[in-house]
Amino acid sequence: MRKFLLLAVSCFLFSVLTKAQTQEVTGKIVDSTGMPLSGASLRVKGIKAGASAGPDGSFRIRLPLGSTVIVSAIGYATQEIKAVSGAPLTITLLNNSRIMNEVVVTAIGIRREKRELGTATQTINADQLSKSGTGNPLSELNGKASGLTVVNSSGDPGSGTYIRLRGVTSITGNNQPLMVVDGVPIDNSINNYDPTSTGNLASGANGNLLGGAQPTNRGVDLNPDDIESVTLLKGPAATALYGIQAASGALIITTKKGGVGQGPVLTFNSSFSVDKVSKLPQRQSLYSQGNNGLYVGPAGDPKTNKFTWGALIDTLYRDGIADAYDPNGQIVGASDPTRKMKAVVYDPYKFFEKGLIYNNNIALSGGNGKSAYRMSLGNLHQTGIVPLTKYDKTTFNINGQSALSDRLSVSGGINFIRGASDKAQQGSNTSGIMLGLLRTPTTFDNSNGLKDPAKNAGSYLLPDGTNSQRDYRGGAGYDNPFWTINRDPFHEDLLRAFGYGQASYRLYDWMTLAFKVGGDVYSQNDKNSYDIGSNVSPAGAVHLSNYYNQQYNSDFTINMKKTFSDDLSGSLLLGQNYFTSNVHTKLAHGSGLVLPDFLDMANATSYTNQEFDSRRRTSAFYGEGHLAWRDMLFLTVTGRRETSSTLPAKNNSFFYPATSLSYEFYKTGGANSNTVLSYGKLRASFAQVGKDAPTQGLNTYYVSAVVNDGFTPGIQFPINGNSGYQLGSAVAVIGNANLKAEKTNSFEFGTDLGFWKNRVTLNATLYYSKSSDVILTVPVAYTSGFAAQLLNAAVITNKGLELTLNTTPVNSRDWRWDVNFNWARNINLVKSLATGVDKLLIAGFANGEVDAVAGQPFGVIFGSAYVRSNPADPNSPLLINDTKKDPGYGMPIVSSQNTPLAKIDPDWTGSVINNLRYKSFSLGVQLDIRHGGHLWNGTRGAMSYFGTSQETANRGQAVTFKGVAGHVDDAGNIAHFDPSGAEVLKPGGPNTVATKYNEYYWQNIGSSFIGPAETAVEGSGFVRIRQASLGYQLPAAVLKNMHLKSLSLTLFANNPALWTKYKGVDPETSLAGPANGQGLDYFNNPGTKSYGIRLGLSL
Amino acid sequence: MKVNHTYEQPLLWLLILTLAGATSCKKSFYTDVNVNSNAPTPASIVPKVLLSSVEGGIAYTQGGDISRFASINLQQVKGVSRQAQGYYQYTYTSQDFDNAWGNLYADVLENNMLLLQMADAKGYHAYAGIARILQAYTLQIVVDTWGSVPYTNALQGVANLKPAFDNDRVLYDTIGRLLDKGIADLNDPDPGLLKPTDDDVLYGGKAAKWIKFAHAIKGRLFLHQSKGNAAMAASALTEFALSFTSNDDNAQYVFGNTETSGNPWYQFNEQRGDISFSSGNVATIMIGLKDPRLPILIDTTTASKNDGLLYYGVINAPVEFISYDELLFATAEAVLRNGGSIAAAQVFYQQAIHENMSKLGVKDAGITTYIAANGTLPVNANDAIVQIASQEYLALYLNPEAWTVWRRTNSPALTPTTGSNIPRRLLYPQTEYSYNKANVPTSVTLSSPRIFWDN
Repeated sequence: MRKFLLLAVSCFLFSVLTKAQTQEVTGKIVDSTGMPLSGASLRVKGIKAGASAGPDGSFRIRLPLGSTVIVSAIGYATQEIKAVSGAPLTITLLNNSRIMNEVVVTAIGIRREKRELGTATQTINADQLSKSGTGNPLSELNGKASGLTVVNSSGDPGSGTYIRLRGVTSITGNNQPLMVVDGVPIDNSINNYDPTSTGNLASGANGNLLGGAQPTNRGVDLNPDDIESVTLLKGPAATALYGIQAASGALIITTKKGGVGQGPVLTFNSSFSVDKVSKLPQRQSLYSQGNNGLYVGPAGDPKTNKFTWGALIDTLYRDGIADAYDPNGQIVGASDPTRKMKAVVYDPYKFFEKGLIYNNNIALSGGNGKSAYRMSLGNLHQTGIVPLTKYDKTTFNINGQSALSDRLSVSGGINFIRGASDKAQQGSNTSGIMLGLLRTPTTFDNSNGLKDPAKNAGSYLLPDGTNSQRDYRGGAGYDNPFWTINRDPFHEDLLRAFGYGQASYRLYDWMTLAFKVGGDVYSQNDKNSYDIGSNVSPAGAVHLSNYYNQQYNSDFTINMKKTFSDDLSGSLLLGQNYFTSNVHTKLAHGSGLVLPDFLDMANATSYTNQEFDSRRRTSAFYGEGHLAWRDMLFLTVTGRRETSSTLPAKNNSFFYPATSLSYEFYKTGGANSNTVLSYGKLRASFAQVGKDAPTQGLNTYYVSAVVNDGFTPGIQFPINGNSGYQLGSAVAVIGNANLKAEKTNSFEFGTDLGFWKNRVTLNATLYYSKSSDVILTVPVAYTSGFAAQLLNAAVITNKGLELTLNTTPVNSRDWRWDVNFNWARNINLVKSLATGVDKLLIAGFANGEVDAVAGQPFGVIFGSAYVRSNPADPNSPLLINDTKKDPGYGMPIVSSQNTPLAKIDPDWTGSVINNLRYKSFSLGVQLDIRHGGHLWNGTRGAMSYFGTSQETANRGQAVTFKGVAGHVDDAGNIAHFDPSGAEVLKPGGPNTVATKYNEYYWQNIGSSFIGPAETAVEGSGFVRIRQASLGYQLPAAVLKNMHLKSLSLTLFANNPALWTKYKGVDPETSLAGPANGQGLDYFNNPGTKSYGIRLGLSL
Repeated sequence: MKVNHTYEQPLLWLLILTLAGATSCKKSFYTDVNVNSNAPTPASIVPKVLLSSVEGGIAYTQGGDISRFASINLQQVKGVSRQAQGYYQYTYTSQDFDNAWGNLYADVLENNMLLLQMADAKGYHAYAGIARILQAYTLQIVVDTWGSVPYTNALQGVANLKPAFDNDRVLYDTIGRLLDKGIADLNDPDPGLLKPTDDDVLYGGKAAKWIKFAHAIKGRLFLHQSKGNAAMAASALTEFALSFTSNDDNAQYVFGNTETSGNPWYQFNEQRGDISFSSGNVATIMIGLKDPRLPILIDTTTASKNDGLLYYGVINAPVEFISYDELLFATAEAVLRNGGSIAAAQVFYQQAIHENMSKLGVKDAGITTYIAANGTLPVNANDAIVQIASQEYLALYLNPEAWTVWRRTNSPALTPTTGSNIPRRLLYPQTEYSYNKANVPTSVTLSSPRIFWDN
């Protein structure tokens, strides 16, 4: 590799250094606004001579007098001028407005016209990026490109956003795209510790994060107001230069910069919006707390007062004597002489508040003839729909660039981010907000009738002064949500800085050297406490987590370009990359608190601590050759040789190539052409990309011993002063010293077409990729002494089609209407996992898992189903229990075998983005569609078990279940009883037994809590209005009088309308947060819809 | 074109050379960063840290999953909601046993095997002896719960990921050999350079006590096989005679006072509360017998969240492996199975009740009254064994050995909560069916095959 590099450089050196007898011409190349066009190139027609403009746009070229110079720059119309010597020339290039000439930033900061690319990319610009006022750059991308999946985990302030390009390629590793800001990769980790988790899978991309508070992925820290554009590099061919980190695609984010030669511009953007709960599960309002049709109150038997299977509320009264549980007193029956008033149904959803979001940004930018700068300050302040939750983010960005000479230019930028959030407990967590709220019976008022229950301890404390919790079970079971927000707080603090510095030197007109270093450093500090009496930690606990992450990146590049003839030109990029990351995590746990309402480490009586260090280092040589023939055929070849610290020395270097071809088969001469087809391009690419292993995967390590089970947190050493260590354990993974890099091969074909003067453009991309040797932790039999082994094993394929159709049906002086469509379908298949392993848990519960199953798409809901009359045919009639003595007589039967039930990912997704402008008014509406795909709605399953869900209101109603009579005999065979009562080994006739929807049915047969997971599988498709906005831009004439550059006012709405059959919260939800285990809903906190107003001002 | 090469070319070459230099970094540039600096190196592991985790692991698993399954099957307690309610009606699936199996094999047996190998290699005879006895004890729990299980080829990590299953009867011999060798190790005049002290939560490193414990386990093995086999009973008596002489000798693990070191029953009741002790069969029987242990063991007066588990449910409650009172009951039974007199057996029987009660803190007067009412054995040996077992059902509250006693004696008479059979074994875990398919026996139900001594 070294030799090759030297040779290539020298070849270029000697071949171009030919000198001609000529005269010198100097000048400057600028755009229509007078901004210098650094890097614009000049080429003398007919001979091999050329030059390029320096950072300040200036050039110097020797050429025979009278010859023609062709001046070109990326994104600008090429010009030909006659060269004359004398005074310096100023050449103005005009912006090329044709859609197909859009310039995109591809890998390693290469700027290239889109038409030259052989791969699919899509760019989302600033005006599309701060529409929602949420300050979340990732959720802003939702629906704006094809092949892009974005899932906001919940509406909690500061919660995470899962993002994915195309399909899953890794089973247990990261599937989110690399985020690159101004050429430097930044961290998008999930740092989370779930104290309610009983396993050791408490954090990471594949974490089984089922409880705790909603985790955040750090990609949401960026301020969307600072972003100029986001380019999505979707496939391996587009990202091949970035290597392993971008194996799942890349988001190339370019921040806003100041303009060289522009006077100072002060910009102020401010928005205010109000959040509301978007959607909540429906509850029944007919029956009271209790069991078997009898009322049992908070002071009653805790074995039965957990249920809402009590009496008809209509028959109940209150005695009017205020007590600890209700200001209207205890519930009594109609015949009770102490009865006063009728019992009423309480609405637990009054718990939610209006959330408020204030988003303010101020920026100053400008420059002189050689330099430019921009600085900005942004603040997001948000209060959540869950009382007492909030998120506060302040960002400061400063960047600048300067041409120090006509050869040397430097640039740099830095971002500071401070974030602080108070989050709510969620999910499978007895202190979770929704768990307590949705199990609360109809006849219990969590707020105790108080006006401001979130701030009044009377809602969640018993009045006896013992600091005991007031909840519907008399202290047992689940926390009163008002207790949770006051006594089980989760606070997160973040301090982060990332930025870059770059120097580039134009050694020759045809060669530029550049060196760029960047870093991203942050410290995240979380504090998660549970007061004494919380159901998660009855003795009280304080958990402190500190995540100190650092990553540094450097790229040294040599850019060379050469014109071989009028027809053929080319460029060569050679580069070296070095990347290192260092993650240090400290966890401190204190338990057994002494004083109530004092959530401090010093208040604990026992402590455990953990430290985790993870370091990773990679370096790579890479190169890209680009050839352009007759300005219509473009060939790009790249290669990267990477060395990673996570692989064994013998396998730690690997090479992967990529190539792509773009052919513009049809270009019309100009805007006046009258043909229907105005542009046509075909593109094709092939790429291979590698991916390294998780850190520290080569060895098996002794760890501090933990012993637990599925029900309890267990014991952790040291205990009583004795340290304990274990090599084997029920979670121990055997290291593998023979790991090698994962490989993905991909093919992509596409076309870009323009019609009617490019008023309509269509981009279509077909792709296929196959990932093999995918590294995963393969479970092994515990009898080996271990739980799993790290192996290169799985094979995953993705194929798909992506369509983007941009149209401008109306374009006149006053009116413009753009309608853009995105559509994508990805078909994923986990071809194989590992020998003898047909399924692998990704996240979830024993009877509601999200798994990788061989032969199925990644992300399958796996659990128990009803027994069918023909077990081989899932569409055969249900078997209806004909065993008379069973309580489930006449009801379907639950299989004891778990099976794959449904896939999570949708069949296709689409969006329709409308932008209508009339004079100074603009109207934008974005419609998003997700078709197919499923969620596991464990929330409804549990609500039905406890008797609070809407569907259990049918208790007592008669029903004859459809199916055939039968049962499963002791040997597991399907059988039925014939009229004589004899057992016959086949299903019987159609079921005729009339039964009732009752408590037994809803607890054991009809819901998923202990019944079949099948009943919790629901379609997660939807149609929604993602965003709507109405804006007004002050006309230029008015602005002039006000000494303003621009002033706009926008009314906007996020998620104002949602159509879905999903019965839970907003179907865009994820219990496990922004991790691989999508598709689970178990008491997830709800999503939001919001309405707001935005003011934009610049002067 | 004219370019000033005076400084630019050297600069270029310098950069290219620097770049080239960067590639020739040593291997350690990469490999050194990939080590887990938060884990001790294998060379720094000493026996005491393994012994601590192994003892804790056995205690937590026995007192947790195994105790719950056994006491629910045996109706000593009642599962009243969620999974425990299902277990109480024998709706088990293979998956329910993954935790217990994983803890026993991977947390306990594997690390204890490593301890054993290290102790043998370095001549730490005291540790080697203890490790063998603990291995024997754990394996006995596994065999008594699941019958034929992997051992000979198990615990070898990547060398054998699909271990074959050994016959349960043969495994009893394996356990016996482990115990004999363990006793020999402890009798070695040279305990080795490193000796257990406080890291040994069971006995503080006292070899004599460990030897008694080893004999207690051996006695259990013989007694389990003594039905209709007087020789086995005689062997059991020989072992018991070499074993515990008071409650001070009890093999038990005492848990800590903190949330992360608390007793498994305490943790379960705190987190789940799905099991009722006050409505379990032991509470019912004790109420009927006016048993003075009842208010010590179970609070039946309030419907508290933890539903009343007292003595064994506090945070630092012990998990008893084998106690003196169990051995006395066992001796009484062995005496009868060996053809001994009722009177001879009754002495041990009464002493067993006495020691159990005094262990729990019952006052002497209460003990005397209780023994007066319940301390007389019937004249027929079989009836006497039934009565001994019925008292063991109470004395071995929450101890999985109680399930073994019941399976051997069918005493006390219990009515299945559903169907017609009380479980006589547990199912193999799902993980064995998934990842060791070729070896794991099929057609296993909760009723069959029975453990070899269950006939």
